[in-house]
Amino acid sequence: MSYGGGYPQQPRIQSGVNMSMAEQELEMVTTLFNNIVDSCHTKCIATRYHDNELNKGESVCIDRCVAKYFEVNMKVGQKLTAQANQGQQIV
Amino acid sequence: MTVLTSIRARLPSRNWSIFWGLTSSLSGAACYDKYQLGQVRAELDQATAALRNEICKPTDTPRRIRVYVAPTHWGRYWFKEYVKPVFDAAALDYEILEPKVAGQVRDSVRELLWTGKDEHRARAASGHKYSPFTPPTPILERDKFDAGEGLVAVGPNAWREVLRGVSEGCLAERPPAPPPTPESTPSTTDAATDDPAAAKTAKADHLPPPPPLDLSCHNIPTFPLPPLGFITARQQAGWTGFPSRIYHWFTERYTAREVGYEALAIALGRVRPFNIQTDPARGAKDIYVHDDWEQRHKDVVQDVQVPGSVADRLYMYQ
Repeated sequence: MSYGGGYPQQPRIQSGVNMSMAEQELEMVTTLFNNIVDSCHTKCIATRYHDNELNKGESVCIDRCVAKYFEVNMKVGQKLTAQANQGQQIV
Repeated sequence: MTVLTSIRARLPSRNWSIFWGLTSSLSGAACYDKYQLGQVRAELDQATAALRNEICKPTDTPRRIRVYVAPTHWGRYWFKEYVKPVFDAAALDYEILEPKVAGQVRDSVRELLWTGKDEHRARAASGHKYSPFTPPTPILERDKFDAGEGLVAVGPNAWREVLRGVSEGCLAERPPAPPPTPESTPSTTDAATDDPAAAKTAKADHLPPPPPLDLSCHNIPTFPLPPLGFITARQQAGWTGFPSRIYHWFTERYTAREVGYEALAIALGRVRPFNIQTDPARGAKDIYVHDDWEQRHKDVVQDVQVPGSVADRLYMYQ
């Protein structure tokens, strides 16, 4: 994933477009992060807390949850892009 | 009326009695078995509770193992029903490798040991000095070979391949890559009609078989070898497996106990030295060889002679 707008030497042509793209990307990443945290917390962490630290079982569950989430996210993104390209080609 | 005739008058007819008798005994046997299976699973759950409730900091990684599952449906089902619950309860990070043909497990184990040797040489050459103040390497840059990552075989086929891979990986070095074969230009008219698949298989048949490995005691690595684990798995696929499957479905509690405690031993991580007399032959009565296989696939699951120099350095989960 590339974070736009982080290169101090890049000349800012069309700075309005760059800014809005950077803002969109930041929003996308933040939404993705929040969704992962919510989803994996619901699935992996029991509501009755015995300890303040994560234990091994929960850690393994979280590792797997995040890995699967990313993989599904990537696959769905690829399918959508392929469909969008197909739609464009037909048009 | 006598007692007997009054009882017979109250019972249902002969046919209904047979029906209810059979139904209730079968369902009773099934329900009892599944209840006991739940108890066995609860027992194993409790035994692994200490492992999964350990504190794990965000910079720590859980213990890893590699599991080699035999390439038939029963292997995957067996693992999922009896082994996976124990590994999940013990918070183990397991990676399942399921080969498609015989021989791939051995290749994978060999490759792992050869990678280990390469990394060991690279580390020695770079003069790596360990100091307690070095920060831990990030996960993606860590070495591929880790002596703490145990190799577990589910089933005797996978077990023999793992042993073969370990002995060949220790005693031999990775052979140099074969030179690229000159691309034979196919004739223009024939290429159009042939399938690309047929052309590929024809090419593969013409390749010479890989040369035999050069085994020698001098190649044995100095770093520790990963511990090995064996889990019993019975072959129950195919038409002839039906009666055995029906019987084992009614007696799943014994299988779950047997296999579950073997998986628990691996989860707890205690090791003992490899016993060269008994360990290579484990699971001999469950080995599976199909008549349709090629000879080299049949050879790879035959009994393995683990050399003493390698066996002295091996450990098994007990």
